[in-house]
Amino acid sequence: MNSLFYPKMAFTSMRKNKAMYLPYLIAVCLCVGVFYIMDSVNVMVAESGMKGAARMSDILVSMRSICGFITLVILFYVNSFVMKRRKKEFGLYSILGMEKRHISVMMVWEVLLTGIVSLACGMLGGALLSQLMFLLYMKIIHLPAALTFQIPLQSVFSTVVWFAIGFGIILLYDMISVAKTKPISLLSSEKAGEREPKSHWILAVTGVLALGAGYVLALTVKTPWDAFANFFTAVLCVIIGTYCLFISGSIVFLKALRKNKRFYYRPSNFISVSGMIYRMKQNAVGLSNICILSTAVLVTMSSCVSLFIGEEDILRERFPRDVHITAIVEDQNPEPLIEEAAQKHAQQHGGQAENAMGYYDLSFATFQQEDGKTFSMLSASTDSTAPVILQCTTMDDYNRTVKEPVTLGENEVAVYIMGETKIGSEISISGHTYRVKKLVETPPYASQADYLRNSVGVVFSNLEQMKTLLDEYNEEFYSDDSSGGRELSYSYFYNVSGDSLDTDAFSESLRDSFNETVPRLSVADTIWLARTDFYQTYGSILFVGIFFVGVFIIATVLIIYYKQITEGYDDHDRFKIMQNVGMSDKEVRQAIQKQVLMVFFLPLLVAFLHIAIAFPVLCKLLMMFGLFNNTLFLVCVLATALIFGILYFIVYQLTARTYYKIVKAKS
Amino acid sequence: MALLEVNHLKKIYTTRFGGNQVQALTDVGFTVEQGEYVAIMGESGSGKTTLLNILASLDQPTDGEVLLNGTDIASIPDRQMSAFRRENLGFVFQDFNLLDTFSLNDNIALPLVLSRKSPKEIHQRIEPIARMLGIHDLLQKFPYEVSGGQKQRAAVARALVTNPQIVLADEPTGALDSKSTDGLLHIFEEINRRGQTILMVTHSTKAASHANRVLFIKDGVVFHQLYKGDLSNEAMFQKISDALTVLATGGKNRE
Repeated sequence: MNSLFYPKMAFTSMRKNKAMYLPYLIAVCLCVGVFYIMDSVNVMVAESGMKGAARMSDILVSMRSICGFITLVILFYVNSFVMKRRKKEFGLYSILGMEKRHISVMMVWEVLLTGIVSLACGMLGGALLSQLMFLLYMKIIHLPAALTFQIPLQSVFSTVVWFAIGFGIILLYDMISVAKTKPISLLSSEKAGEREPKSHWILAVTGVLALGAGYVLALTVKTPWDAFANFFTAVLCVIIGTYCLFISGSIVFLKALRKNKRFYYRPSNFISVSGMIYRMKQNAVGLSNICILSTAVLVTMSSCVSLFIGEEDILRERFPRDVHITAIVEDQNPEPLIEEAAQKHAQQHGGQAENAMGYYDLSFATFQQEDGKTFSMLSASTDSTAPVILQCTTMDDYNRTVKEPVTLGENEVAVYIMGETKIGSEISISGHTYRVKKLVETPPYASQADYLRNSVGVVFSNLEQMKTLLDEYNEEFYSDDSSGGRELSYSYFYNVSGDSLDTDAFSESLRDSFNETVPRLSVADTIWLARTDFYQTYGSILFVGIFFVGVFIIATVLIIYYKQITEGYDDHDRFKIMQNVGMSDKEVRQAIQKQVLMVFFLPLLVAFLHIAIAFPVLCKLLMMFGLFNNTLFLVCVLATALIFGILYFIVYQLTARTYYKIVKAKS
Repeated sequence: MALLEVNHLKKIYTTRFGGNQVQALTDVGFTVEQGEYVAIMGESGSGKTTLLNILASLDQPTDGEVLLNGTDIASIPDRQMSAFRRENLGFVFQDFNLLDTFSLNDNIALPLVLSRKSPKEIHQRIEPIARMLGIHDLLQKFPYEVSGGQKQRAAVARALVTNPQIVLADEPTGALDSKSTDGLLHIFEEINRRGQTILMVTHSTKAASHANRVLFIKDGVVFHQLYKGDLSNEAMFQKISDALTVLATGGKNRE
């Protein structure tokens, strides 16, 4: 036999199956490209030797592996689609006298051709784009970079190895599945008798329960810590619920529609409802995949973008002023020392310290007794289900920063509540009872982050009372051990004016300068220093997020495309019969449209519903990252949903055209 | 006036690139009276199916005309064509053409639903027909759950449910075993006796022997026709066989 027989045959059969293979090939190219770009950008970052390269590289590498894994799943999924459609062809070959061994050889060639073409194209495109991607990355993290052209061999190698393994597994799977089937069933595998799907009440009920549980979890979350603890359970519940409901709930629902004779016996409902019952059986899993992927795209994109846009908000939250100094208070109050050191250091750099804000800070965990007024102190190592954090501050500090000052006598406190705690007219801490004079507004220096936990701000009339509490606390829990106790600290924030301020030099010398005069300095940080870190971290998250979304979208588009094609072939015969029985072209078109619309926009609508329900939880999760700007997040979610919706619609339009062509094809 | 009148029908197929021309029908003409049961016979490639497709308005003739109740079906605008077909013609196909996504009841209901009849009316129309065809108990079953004969009876019910002017049947017994064939032919005779006009295209001498009249098509023309008159099915069978033999051995000595 001619040695070129198999490669030729593989090539011809791929060309014959263009409608199936071309999207497959494009998808593989894209996957290869994405993988290569992530890998090579990582290499470029590592080689650039910039500050923070190691951390950025860590994020990139771990995400590349996850991305790579997802791309393999996509390939596997698409491949199974292609194989299902081609079984008939293989059956014909074997009836014409090809042995399974020969078919396997042909498949090897097919996979080889696919692999070589897609690796070559994918990496070529990837090599061109990776330079741009690197620039984009640098732009996102606000670092200047020049356009260079670089093809890291290391990335070429790892891409080839990764996809060679992937294709190997796919080939093995294909060969086993062909070897396991008999020729005659290969021939008729497409026509395998379709029974009407049964209503699985158990599955439907499970779905409702799981989805309900997920939604309830999502809607009842109070604090960000709860959100963090419950988020993955909720996600899991929603995923399970989505699958169960698509698989079974949809059929239960459609059958109920069918029972309603007034609704059912109308031309377009008649055809679409009965068609959907079958369609849902074959497509439920695919549609739930689309739904979950769409939700993932929406969540990933909107959170990454809002974190990125919200960077400045997050920074301002951490740095109410440009410079942040904190020192531990011992015998002597550090207040004047810090003020002096700040002014001196600023002057050294040609500026003035101004707009300063300082306060004494003491916080400890307590447990609110059932009477609502007694707060027992908790050691840091004790677990409590609902600790209340007491944020202690002095009247002087408080009054300096708020519009409505309070006057407190001895044993009187003012209270501001950050969270859900209820406070009566008296509170008792560690045996001291204080009269709550007033519930007051939260001072500007209280961090938004305090809302993360259940906090209660307590304004004392003087610092001595706070010191007493602190001593008693340390006495109770750390008397035998000098280390690990609570400490009273003084935090000081200020801006620096000055036209020619060199922020880098200022930040670098800050700590040393303060250490000269201020004892027990704990924090000396500037917003400028933090900004670089922030940009790198959140920029990397956004960058990686873009790739994830890219991969998710590739997956979604492919699933939609292959669903449309498969259904087109299935529906072709049905619509022909309907035309014979007296359905006009227009009616056929309407029925098709209604059916396809229902099928393909259902997952999108459910995805929108999911994200709407998840919105409060996601807000709280973003608080964990320091983003408290819910409006920003809302805008991001809406924008992402809109863009994704448009994209989805375009994909639907394009694939629906292919679908319609198949349905209307002669013969 | 004849119910169906076919005049000088001609159909030429041109291959896609305009190369070869195939003449499927040369000059076909015949009439079918109200209440007749006509069978059209002919070998493969004789133009039977082309003729039926044109009668069913699924295909357009190159020349000639088809009049149903005096209306030229070519004059019916496209957008009314489907409704016309639905209301005036009933179809029975060789491979049943039942939709496996519908129960038998819904398959039968399809043309009525397309004509926007109310659920009540649909039920009232299906009920007696299903009873007559003996598939009353099977209405809630799906096509894959019943036998070929039962499927074909459901298809006949679908053809009859709109009270069509004429039922067009394309090899209705082609996919049935002999027992089901007998059953179906009996049904055709029965509905014809009740006044239903039937035009059947078939290969099967046995099927044709049940008709009142048999037309033979060869090389795109109506070559011969036989009237059953008072003959029994068996005698008619013999007569058709003879005619087919003549047809197959060449037409020169057909007198």
